[in-house]
Amino acid sequence: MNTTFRILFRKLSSKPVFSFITIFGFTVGIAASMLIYLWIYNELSYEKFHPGYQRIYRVLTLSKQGDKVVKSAGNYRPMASTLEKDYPQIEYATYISFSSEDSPLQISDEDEKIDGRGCWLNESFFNVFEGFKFREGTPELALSNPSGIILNASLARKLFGNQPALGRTVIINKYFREEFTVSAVVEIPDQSHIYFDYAYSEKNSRIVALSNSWSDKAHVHVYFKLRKDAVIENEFLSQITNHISRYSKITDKLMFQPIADIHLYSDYETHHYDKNIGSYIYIWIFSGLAILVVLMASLNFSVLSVARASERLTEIGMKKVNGASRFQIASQYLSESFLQTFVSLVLAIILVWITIPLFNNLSGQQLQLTLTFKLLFNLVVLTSFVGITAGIYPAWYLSSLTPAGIFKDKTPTGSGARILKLLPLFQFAIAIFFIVATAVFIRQMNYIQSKDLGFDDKNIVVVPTGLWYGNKTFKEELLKHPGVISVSASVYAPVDFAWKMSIPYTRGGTNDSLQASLFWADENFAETYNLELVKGRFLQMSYEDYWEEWKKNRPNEKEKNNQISLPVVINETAEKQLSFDDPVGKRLGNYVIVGVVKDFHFRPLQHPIEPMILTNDPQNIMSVNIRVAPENRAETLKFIGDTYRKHRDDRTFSYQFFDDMLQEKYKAENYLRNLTFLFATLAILIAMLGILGMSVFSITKRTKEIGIRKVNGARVSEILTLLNKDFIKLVVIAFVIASPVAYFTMNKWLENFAYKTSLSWWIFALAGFLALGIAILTVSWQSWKAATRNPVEALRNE
Amino acid sequence: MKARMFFIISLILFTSCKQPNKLKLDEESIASEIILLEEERQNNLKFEFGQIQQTGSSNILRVKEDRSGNKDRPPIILDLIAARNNVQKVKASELFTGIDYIKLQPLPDSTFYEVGADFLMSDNFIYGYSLNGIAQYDLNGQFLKYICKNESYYTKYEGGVMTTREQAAMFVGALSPKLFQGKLYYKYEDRPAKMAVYMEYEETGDLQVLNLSGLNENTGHIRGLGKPFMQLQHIENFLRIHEMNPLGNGLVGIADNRRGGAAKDFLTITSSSGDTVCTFRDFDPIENYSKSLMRGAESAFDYMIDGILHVRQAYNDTIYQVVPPNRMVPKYVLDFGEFSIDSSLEGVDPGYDLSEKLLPDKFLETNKYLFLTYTKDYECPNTAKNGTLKYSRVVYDKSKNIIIPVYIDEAPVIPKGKMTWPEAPNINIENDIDDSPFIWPAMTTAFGVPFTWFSRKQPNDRLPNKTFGNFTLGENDYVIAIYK
Repeated sequence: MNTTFRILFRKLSSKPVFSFITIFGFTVGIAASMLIYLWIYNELSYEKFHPGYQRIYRVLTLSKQGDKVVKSAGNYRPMASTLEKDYPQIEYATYISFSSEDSPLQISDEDEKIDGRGCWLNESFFNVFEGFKFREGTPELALSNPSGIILNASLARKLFGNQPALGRTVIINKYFREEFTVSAVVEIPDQSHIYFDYAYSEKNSRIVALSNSWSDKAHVHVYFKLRKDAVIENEFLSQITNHISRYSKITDKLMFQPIADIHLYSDYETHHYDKNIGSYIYIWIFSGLAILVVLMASLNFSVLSVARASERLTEIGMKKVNGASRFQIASQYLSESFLQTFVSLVLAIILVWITIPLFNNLSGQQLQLTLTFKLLFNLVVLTSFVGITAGIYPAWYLSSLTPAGIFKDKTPTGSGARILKLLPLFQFAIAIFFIVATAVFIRQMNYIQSKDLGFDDKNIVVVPTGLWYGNKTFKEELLKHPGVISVSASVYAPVDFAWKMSIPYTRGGTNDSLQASLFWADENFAETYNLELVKGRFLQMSYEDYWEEWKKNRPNEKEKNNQISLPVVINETAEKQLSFDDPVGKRLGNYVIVGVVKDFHFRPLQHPIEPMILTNDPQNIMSVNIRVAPENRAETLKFIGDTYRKHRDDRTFSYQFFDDMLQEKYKAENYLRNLTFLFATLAILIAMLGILGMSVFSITKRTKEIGIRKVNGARVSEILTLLNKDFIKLVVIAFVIASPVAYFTMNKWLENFAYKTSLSWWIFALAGFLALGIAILTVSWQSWKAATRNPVEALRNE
Repeated sequence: MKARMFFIISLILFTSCKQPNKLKLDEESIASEIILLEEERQNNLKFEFGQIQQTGSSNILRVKEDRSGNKDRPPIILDLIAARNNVQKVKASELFTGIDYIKLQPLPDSTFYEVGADFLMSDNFIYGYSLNGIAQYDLNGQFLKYICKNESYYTKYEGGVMTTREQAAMFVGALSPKLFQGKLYYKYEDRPAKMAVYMEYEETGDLQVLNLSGLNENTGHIRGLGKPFMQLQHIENFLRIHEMNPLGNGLVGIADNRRGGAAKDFLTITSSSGDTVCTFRDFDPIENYSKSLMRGAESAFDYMIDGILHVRQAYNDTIYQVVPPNRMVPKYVLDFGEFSIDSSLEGVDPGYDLSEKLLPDKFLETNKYLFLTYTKDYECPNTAKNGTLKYSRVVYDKSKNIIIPVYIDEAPVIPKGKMTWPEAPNINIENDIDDSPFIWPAMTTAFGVPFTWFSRKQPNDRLPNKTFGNFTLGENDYVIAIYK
């Protein structure tokens, strides 16, 4: 081993360029793999901190909505207790019933209010989810007190600082004043899809009557834990999927999802109550990126080792002549490979430690490099395999050379030569793929950001208000400020509105129904968002008019043919679907169409524009949208906050700008773009190093030939052409191979978007030219040196 | 290289595998089942309700209303202004000969009365009803069965309950039970399915089990016991309640309670097939009301005694007896003199100041007495908070034709919590029959004897720690007190 070390050290220091290429390549490759490994490990570890997580399932419902059957995580509160009661296979069943809006919490009536999102739980919750750590209190007692409240550790810190919270009083005074006693403080780790700021028991008197209601499906999630010895048979599955029919005539049926699958494999519209929902597709994508980079680095080593075999022929020949076996030769080269990869591993760990904050920034993760035994073991295994597989070919090849062949020809032949040609081809194919992918990601994100959404989304402040009937005076007061241009109340901001309803209508004597998003907004909505009206007028109904109109919905009035007629405005997509000659004045159930607006995007661009109906309903107002002047925004925001606090002293004031809310919807795509850009850079770097190494080697081999050509009158340009053309050919072939793969892959990715940029030919051309340019520059540097070298020197050395 | 790729890919595949799902199911086939079920359900509901219409009689002719009084028996005018003097403490023994208590067995569903309870008593049974349904007991208080268990949704808070429109729209179950000639009648509404029927249940003490899965042997998908008597127009505005009262001979009286706006008619008598037999017009309609806000200052009321329906329209001083098919005979007039409101518009228009006006609140006619509660100013949390709301109670002795003022213009009792409704205090009647507090009677038995009920759950006017008859009142116990 000492000898191997000494030989390796001598070889590395004698050829610093090649040494740098191989070690740098390995380091970068291993570092990239480590980062991706940490990311994937984090992604795959969701929910696994719960003991017995393999037995925990979320209960999903399948229900008919309109013409379709829709899968959903929404469920019914009595589901948990009835499942636990009816099936011996189920050890515990629980539910979480979320509040749809924040409530203000304070430790005394005079103290600051902190907003938190609450929920209530049944007593089996911590039997199912045993992994939540209790900073204070115990799982056994946390939900035993009907007036108890469980705080998330972060909320407890905000309320009580570093003081213990257990046993302290917390006041929630929203629609009415309630006092709770802190019964526990829990830590909710990041790798959980469940999140709440506070929770209380279903035994709380205010809500105890609701725990038996088969309704409010949207806000409830149900889970259960199977017994360890549970036997799952078809009969059990048949009964449990039809469980609801035992208690209610709702036609919903049940399906079951292992909780470890929720984070990556939720193939249904996940509610905003689920935290941190990802996708397994990104696991594949990032794994693929890491594989490619490692592959490129390993290829560099393998092929350059073979390419440099001629420098070590004498050494190999002498060893064989002195009795070294093939195994011994191969072992030596494998050892060298191992050692280089392990040196790279150490460097890679340092590199990861330095760059992990940057990676977290680019990927939106909070990864940490914790050198646990498991991680080190996995790294050692990975590095060993990389070392083996990188070194096995050269070891096999070099050990197969015979002394006679070596001392006679001094030229390695056969497969080694072919592989030399494949290296730059493969590397540049990967690099071109990365360049195309990065360009497409950047183009798509630019397209998304610059696409006309059909309304003006700039300078709009969105204030979540919770349910608020009396927002009229607040709006009027805001408008007195010169910095406030327009104010409108609506259910939410039109960022990602997915609520749909089926609305009946009649056309030409035929009954039909329109599946549309029913969006509630007031009469100022079009003005605030600059919606374009294409027919009729916008909503002009105030809340008082609304209530007045609603009174017509009485049997006596109906006998007079006084139909309720609530005005609505539809979008162009709804207009097309309805196919009326002129939709203005036509009825949709209780609604009458008064206008049509130009289509606008009320969901992120992954979704197409679907039919939408805008109407006013004071019982569904949860947000205020305020268009502000771009100047003096800070001062305007302060005014808005002060005014809001005057009107809603039961809530804390918070706001977001509309364009920021929209950007959050593209978080995953932005991270993908960032990481692809990073990997593209690495790939190009490694490819450059690879081709540099190859060009150095190749040119060195042809020193004599270049000298002779020059002596015979060859010009520098002819020498350059001669030396570059092989590499250029390889890059062109790489382009031909990479382009269809890149096209297919990017096309598939763009299918995730309803609105997408085009895969223009020039993206591929740009990638090709870029790759070619990098190759030419890299090779030309060495070629120029060789071409301009004094031929006398070249020939003398030969 | 191949080996390297194989290893790495295998590693990725292995580590990114989904959790094995022991409970894997075929989503497509389940979805198909749901679609079939929904279709079947819709077809069944149409079939059921279609059958009810077909069985109705079409032989009844429509007749004109007759409001002429009975000359031999003119209405009794209750001079409530004169009765505001001479308030004195009343002893229970002056009104009743004894008090019987029936302790009701706690129900299997402990939350049944969480949001309030009302009771009816027939010859043989006691019925308790709430937003959660109707329960039947025998006359010893033993629970027999549920007549209907509702799917009702509300938010309970300290002192009250709140129902949003969305919650109200999901309601399925029984409302407004009434007793008539040995039968229990109730409205059954399935609001999601937009169907409603008037149900008739023949009283029986059989332990008939309510099938909570929704399938009833006799009625298909209706979750209550009994049979559909009459199909109803779907009531889409859930705030408006039409009181339905069985009248015998296949007739039903439907009274508009005027809460929430103008009614076209005061009372409509229909056959069970839905044919209108007679309508009694509203002579004081709320018309041409242009303001955006409308006040619900008081409610109408209706009740049965001796098998006869009695009705009073809101903002009106006369209580009528209904003699089907087309007569309404005035029976009592509540005379508040200059303090009465002159028209329905005064009642609903918030611009009219009612702080000095007297308005009927609750009215109970028994075999011997009338128990009347009225208010000065209209009853609501704001008037209670402002101090303008006052309660008065009087008892009218039918045999002696005298009005006994129990108390006049007393401050309301305001339960704890926000959004709670004020109540009249239970004062000034001393129970000298036994040591228990006296609770103002709320209903009558089948024989016209007044009774009431109480529980520790209703802290407002109910009780502390007394024994009643042979028992002690537990936390969840309801007790019926019959004032004989």
